[in-house]
Amino acid sequence: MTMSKNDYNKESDPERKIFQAALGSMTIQPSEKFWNSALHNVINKSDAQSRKRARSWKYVAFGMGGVIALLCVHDVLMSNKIDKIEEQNTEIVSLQKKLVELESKPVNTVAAVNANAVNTESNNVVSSGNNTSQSTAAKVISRINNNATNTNANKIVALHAINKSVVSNTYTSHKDIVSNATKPNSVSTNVIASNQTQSVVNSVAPEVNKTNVPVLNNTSEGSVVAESSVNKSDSLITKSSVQISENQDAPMTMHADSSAKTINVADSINNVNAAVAQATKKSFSLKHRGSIGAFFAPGGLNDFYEDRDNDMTDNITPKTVKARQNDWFSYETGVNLGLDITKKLTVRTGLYYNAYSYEIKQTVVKAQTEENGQLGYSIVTSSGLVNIPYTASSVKPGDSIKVRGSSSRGYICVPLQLTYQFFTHYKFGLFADAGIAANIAASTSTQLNWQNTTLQEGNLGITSIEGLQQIHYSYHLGVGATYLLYRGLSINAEPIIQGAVTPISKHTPIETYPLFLGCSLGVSYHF
Amino acid sequence: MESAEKELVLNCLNGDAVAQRELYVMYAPKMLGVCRRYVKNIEEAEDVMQEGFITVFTKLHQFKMEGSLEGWVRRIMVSRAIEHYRKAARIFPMQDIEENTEAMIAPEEVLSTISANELLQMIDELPHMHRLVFNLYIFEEMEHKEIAEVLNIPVGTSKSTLFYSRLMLRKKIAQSMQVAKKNDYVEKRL
Repeated sequence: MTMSKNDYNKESDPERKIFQAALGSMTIQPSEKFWNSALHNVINKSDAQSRKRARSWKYVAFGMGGVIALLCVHDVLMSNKIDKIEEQNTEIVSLQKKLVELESKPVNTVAAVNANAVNTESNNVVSSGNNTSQSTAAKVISRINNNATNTNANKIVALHAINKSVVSNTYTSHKDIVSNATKPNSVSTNVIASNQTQSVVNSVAPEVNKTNVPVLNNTSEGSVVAESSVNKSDSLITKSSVQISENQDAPMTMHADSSAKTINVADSINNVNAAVAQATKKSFSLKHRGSIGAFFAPGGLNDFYEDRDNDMTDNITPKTVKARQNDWFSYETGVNLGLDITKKLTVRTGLYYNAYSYEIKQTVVKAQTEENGQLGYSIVTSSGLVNIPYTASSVKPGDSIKVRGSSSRGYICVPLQLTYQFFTHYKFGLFADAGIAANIAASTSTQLNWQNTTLQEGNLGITSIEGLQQIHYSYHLGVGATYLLYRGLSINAEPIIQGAVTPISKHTPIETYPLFLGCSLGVSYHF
Repeated sequence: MESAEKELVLNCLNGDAVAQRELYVMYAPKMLGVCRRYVKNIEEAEDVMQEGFITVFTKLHQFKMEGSLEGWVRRIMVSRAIEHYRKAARIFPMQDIEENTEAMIAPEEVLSTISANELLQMIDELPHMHRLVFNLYIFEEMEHKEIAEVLNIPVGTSKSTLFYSRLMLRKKIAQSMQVAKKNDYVEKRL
């Protein structure tokens, strides 16, 4: 039989007959693994649009959450500044009270600054009493040591020097205020008045609109020896300065200083007030400090599973995976760096290492066709698919083995956390922190003991897990306590919760969201 | 269309995972066989079938419940196979084939001598375009006009491609038959 280009006829077509008969009803059974994987892909892609919509909403929610968080941070920052200003006001009021207390002490000659005038300008700074006062100068130095627990002895030394010259009388004041170390709002004040000069000048104060206020003027022995009177309209030579320093021994590291000039009493007081405000402003910048810490957090793991909605295989479900596993000891450790945004709020990052491990209970694994077309064994775990390199005997369809063992996985984490110190008392503090972390899969290890039906057994070490995500994200929440040991070195303990935001596995029948519960124990150093 | 098939499609459209799996299980082996004829190995065939099933599930709402569901799924698989070659830009190279008419041996004799796998291998050895045209004409029973539309080629090209495909296959079949006969002869002598 010969053929030409035109002799194709369906009925008498020999190729059609041969190939249709041989291959027309050809069927090929896809491998089990391909089925699962293909099913996932089929549904994943067909469901892509709805998932995309869901993701969009997730992004919107995250965006809104971010904006709210930023607003909260801003609010915290602002409230912190307001707290500072209030703190300074409290200190001023405290100073005034101390001065009044001193004024009430029995003295021969009294010198004082009516601190109320600082705020209201309605009162006059007056020296009163004996116009034949022996002393012509007194010096009042204000020293404010503001030592907060978490900011490491921040000392503010303010020097208010008021050289008052009314009819040749000159006064300066020296006030020393030491705040409580762990409770900045509670200020204890010491006022030291010292006599700088022993020159005797008669004070001639105008009698009009005069309010007599005792003026302190201590001698070297501490007794007040001079007394004079001035009123608001008097002319003074004033000089005010504020010093900020790390310690009392070297107090002159920063200062705001007004040049000496002759002004009236009210202006002088305003000048002092401005200097205090400037010192307050500068004190904020000193709060921007950092800390470094290390911790170890032992704990336990609790996996949450989600059945992929495209998983149509009945044999692998979250229930079966959960039933065959037992979560074991897990831990997190690492070092972190903190930057104090405010006295109470710290942003923190670092490098952590998480190790999670679990037991694989005795499970019967049936032989399945692998991707390469060969029969083999594999087991689905919370981490992904573990292929078992079983080579003890040839695997036949229907064969099965029993396996048991353990598996672990390690992650390197890069966190971003916010820590808020909401309570302090003396050296003790309480804080809360929250944040997110990127977790990069660093190592996996599975140790399996197998036993076949002929009671042969062996051990296998497997280092790869199919389907394990290389990176997943998690959140971090915790509330803890800190205790200051010595000069910025503190210890802390914090119960923590760490949960996955994204699943740790992909292309597997189940999605795993591990939840780590632990207690972090660590040390940190503020610098 | 059978009511069971109709129900299956409706359940799939409602997002019933069990029904989707049932549909997949029902047609996957056959469709993998179809895809295999268009590509050279099982891995590629699985890829094509996977793409095909994605199309099936995303376009199931377009199925009009008339005619065979299997036929509809099969057409999708074939079009995915063609698309597979288009993407790979392997459809166009044509080979000069020596025009050499071969006598066709009786189909019954061929089928009794040559296995299905050997015949499949012969199809695999055809140039891509020839394999496509041959598959569409022989197995999908398309007319040259349809093939020309599907592959975006002139009708004449489709005809000549099929002609050369037949020639090549006849040659291969003849060679295979000769080898088989020789083997048979040797076995008998032994």
